[in-house]
Amino acid sequence: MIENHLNNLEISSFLKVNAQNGFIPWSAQGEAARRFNLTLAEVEEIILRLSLMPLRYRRNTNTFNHRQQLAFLKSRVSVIGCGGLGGYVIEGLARLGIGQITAIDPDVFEETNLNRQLNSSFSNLGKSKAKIAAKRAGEINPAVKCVPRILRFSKTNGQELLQGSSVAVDALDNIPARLELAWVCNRMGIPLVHGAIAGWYGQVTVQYPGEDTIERIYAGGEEAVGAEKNLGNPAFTPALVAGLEVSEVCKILIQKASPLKGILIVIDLLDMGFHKISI
Amino acid sequence: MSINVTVKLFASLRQGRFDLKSLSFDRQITLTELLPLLGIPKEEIVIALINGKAAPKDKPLAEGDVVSLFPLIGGG
Repeated sequence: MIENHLNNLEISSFLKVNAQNGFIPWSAQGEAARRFNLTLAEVEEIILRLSLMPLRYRRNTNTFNHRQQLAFLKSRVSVIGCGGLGGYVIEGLARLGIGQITAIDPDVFEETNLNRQLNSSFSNLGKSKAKIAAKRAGEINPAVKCVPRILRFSKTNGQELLQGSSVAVDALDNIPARLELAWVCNRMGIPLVHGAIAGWYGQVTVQYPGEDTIERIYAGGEEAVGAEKNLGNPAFTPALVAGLEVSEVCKILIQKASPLKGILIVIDLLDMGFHKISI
Repeated sequence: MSINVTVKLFASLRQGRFDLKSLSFDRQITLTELLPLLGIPKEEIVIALINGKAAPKDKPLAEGDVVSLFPLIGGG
């Protein structure tokens, strides 16, 4: 269908006429969708295939080219957990223009989330974290489709939840669930970006299919509770670790090898140390 | 006989303890035996490296080994 549109001189010339130095303003993208009866995502795909760029991504252009921006648009990324880490991860993915995001979380916002979770606010208390994250993603970038799934991820429902995902992002808050997610990702051949936090500390790694990185990190700790039980989590650690996770998602989607393959980076914000460990 | 090892603690394990310490033992000692001597409870599972490489916790330490210990982090 998109290919047909590319041949459609009318839409190509409409977009080219409305381009300003190679950039299509949002008003023209919306007008093209209305005029040619397309979705905003379909128009975005045509824009990128014409080697033009939606204006909203102008500040990305020296970092990501049209081809890479198109790879983002055509990707599906599943975010498991929409709390401290997940809120910031989904924010980043929506701003990057990841075409399809699945936001998975069974919980609602509580007062104790207000110290750190991006989407928590007094008016959102008691509301679904997944739904609020999806709503915000839609407000940030209407070309992105973010689907909320109000479910607790497990080995049982994991395969259905992650179907069609290019990458999964571990933004969970407990070790047993992380091990189940890593298991499902391996079974489905999906690369997994892992992040975890506790107080001043955090960690990030990437597990590619066929690797057992997460299992090695938490070896013998299936029943264990991490340092976060005593330390809690302040405002800045989730933002930082989520940012690192999103950068690894980008690299996987543009087929650039992650430097964290088989490497766990342990972050100590109290001493400002970033320690790389071979797993 | 004495065995001298260097222990490096990372992240939250440093709190109330130390960053780096040289320790001397007059007998062979494993990582599992070392942890309670550092006041790290058994339940507090850690990632343990000997000379920068992941090591099983029942491995006896050798003269000059550098032991690095990281806490278990699981929050989100």
